[in-house]
Amino acid sequence: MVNQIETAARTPVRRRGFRKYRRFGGSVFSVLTTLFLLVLLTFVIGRLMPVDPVIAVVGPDADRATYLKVKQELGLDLPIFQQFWIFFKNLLHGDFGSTLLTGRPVMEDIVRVLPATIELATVTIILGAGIGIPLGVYAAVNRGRFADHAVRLIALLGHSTPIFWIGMVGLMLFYAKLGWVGGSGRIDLFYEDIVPNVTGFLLIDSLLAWDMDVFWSAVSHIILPASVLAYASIAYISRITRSFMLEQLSQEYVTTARAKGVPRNGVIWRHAFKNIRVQLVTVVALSYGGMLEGAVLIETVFGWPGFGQYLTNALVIGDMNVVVACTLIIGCVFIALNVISDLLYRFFDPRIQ
Amino acid sequence: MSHVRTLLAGTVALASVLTVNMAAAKTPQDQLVIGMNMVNLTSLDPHNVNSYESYHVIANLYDTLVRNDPNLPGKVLPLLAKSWTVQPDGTIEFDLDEEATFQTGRKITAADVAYSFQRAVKLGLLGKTYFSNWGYTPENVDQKFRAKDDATFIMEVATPVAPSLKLGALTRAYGAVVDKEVIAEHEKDGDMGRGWLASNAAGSGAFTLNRWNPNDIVVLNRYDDYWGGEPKMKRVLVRHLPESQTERLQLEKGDLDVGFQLVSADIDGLAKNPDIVIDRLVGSGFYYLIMSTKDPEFAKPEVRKALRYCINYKDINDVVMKNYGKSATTFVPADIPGYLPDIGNVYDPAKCKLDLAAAGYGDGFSKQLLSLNSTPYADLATAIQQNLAVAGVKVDIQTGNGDQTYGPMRDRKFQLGVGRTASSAQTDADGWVRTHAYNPDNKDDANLANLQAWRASFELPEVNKLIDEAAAITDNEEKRVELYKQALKLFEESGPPVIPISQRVDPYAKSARLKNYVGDIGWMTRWDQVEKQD
Repeated sequence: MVNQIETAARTPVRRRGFRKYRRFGGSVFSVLTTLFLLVLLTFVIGRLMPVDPVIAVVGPDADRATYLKVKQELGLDLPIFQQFWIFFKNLLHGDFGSTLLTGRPVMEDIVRVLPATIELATVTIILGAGIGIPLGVYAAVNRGRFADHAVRLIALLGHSTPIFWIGMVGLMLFYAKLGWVGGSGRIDLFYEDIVPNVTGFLLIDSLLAWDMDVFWSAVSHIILPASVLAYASIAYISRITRSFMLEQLSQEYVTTARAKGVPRNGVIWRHAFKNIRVQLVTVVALSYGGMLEGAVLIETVFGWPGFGQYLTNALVIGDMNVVVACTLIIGCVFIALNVISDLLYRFFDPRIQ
Repeated sequence: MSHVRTLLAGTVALASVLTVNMAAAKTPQDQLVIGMNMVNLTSLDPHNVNSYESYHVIANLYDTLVRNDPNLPGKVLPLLAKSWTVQPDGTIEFDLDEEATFQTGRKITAADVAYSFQRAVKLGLLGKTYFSNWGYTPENVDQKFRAKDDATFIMEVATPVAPSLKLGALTRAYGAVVDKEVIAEHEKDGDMGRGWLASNAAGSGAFTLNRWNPNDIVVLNRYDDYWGGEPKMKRVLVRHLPESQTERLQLEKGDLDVGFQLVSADIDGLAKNPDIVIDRLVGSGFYYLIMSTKDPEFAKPEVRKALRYCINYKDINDVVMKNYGKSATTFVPADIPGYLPDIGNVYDPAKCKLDLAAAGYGDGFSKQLLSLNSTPYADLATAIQQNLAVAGVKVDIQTGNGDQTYGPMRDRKFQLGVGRTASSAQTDADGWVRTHAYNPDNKDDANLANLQAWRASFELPEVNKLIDEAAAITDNEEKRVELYKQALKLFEESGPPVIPISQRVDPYAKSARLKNYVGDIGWMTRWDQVEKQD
């Protein structure tokens, strides 16, 4: 009898645990299926594109024998599904293959280019969210007044002006004319190889080595591209923040708080803003993810040796090993960002368990 | 409001700190900083490259037996070989400089030279082209390239080829001598170090390879014990700058010493700057218009001849090709023996129209023209479209990337195209005439896509014969040159399906501070003697 009672009491717990695992297994399965389909689609589309990677490798003047030899060596003479199968098998072993163009391992290249982009994106998002959110709140609070119009105009300009153009004008003004910031690249060239590469993030590596010349050179180089990118993201974040805030400010609890005599700043930041934090986290996380792949134009204008440029060059010549690896990484980054925002939801919103 | 004020104050403070710390930088006195678009820098293996960008880097990591005289195209100077003699049968015997050492400190021997050339042929990649044109095959190279003793390298004849032609070609990247002992250490499955050498170096050049990150940066360090004397620059940094405008700003600010691949507008802008000098390297290929003789209209010589009068060469070269090319009328450049001054392009639209009418095309016809979608190709295509419209020939321009444009030409499935022969830079008429007029086998499956006449499905046995005869002359330079002239003349008279528009010019900008920076016609520009003035 005692045993029966014990069993009855334990079963739901076990079942609950099992359900939890099943749910977890289900999520993992759906993530893996998504990634597999992503790889398959990217690979097939890439191979069907009318670009010939062999020409990119040998140049237009190579003779036929060289062309065919290289094509064979790259495995491009095999049927497409066989190519995919080989690629996929290697992928399961953690081998992303080599770039067609230089023959170097794709992973090695990605480890090199990704920190440059993450560094740029991080500084950008700090600027973008740090300025965009207060601006959006400020505009919402001053709705219909001059400040609101000014913020909206800035946002509209930031959203509609081509980013490479702002980049170019920024370079001409702040680099060429005024000499306030560094030119293209992550650092003044003659500072290359001065500090040891520990994290791949120059700002951190130079501080670790305590070489302030290199640090300031890196700051002077990142500040302009990050500001230009941040402008676009300020435009986006401030607009969204404004509309979230407007919605909250029209709620009854805000009126109640005001009626209770809560100070103005308290109403705005402690009551209304607190309630939009969860939504803002998603917006900021998505902007951040978008910057990892979407900063191509800025990377080109500023000669920034980053991920976007690397992926674009590969796309242009049809280097599918690189394209698929990069797509997978972007996919993983978005999944990771989703997980992180989920965690932050829990932190910001006590109702979510 | 206080938040906003704090933010503003913070921004101003940060900006002032940055401004103080970021005074405009000039490149240091002992470092050479170069900007270029590195998309075509795909390998550092001297036996597997053919781009302008890779040649520049390789010229400083490796030495060749002989080098171009930068001031006198067509003349070769000693480098690893201090002298050479040509035997009556065309065999060349090179005496190596005893001082010459690899960067490991080991003396360069004739066995290293033999290994290097054998490697170029046996790998069967881009470096083999000229060697195979001269009859060298993976089977015969062990015999034909050999060391007589440590200091004497022998290059035997496979098929008769003028020695001067070989010497001129050996100045290029595939003539680089690699350290066979270092390569042996990195060989995998008998690949002759192919995998390793693609991103490493094993040479005797003035600089060592510190780092190459594709599409990012190349860092070369001075090799202090360089056998040719210590290089002046401590480091050379080559940076990937895909955007011409950014490159121009960097040059103007003094952050770059040399800039390659600038677009025409930026070249013009920089030319006005007293701190910048624009140099123009002439001679690495031709911009051309090609007609496929598989097309029923272009199969007729009278149509091809007539159309040639329609093209306004002067305006095209003065406007569209400014900074990209200089006017060319035949396929041998003016400063190379074999040049024909009195034949070639004439602009006469009235005659073009009349001749076309006489050929039965008074109302013209419509054709498709393939062109790359980049400058200056697309502009050149548009100019030709306008020129041909005068005679009623309607041209539909199809622009695309390299594959979409050159692909159909390689497959001989096109009507009209504009293009550029890219890697035939050399100081001998042979390469020029051969690339454009030679076609020994006009069948589709012959796959001679590196020959323009084959792409145009155009074969003139007399021209082939003359070129073959000329290349085989080993003892009479004058006669050899004369034969190329005859071949060129015959080609011109036949109503050639490949019409030269401009000879390629590669302009680059360099700081006026630089001394001894002399661009090499074969792209093998050496940086060891470059200095900077204060």
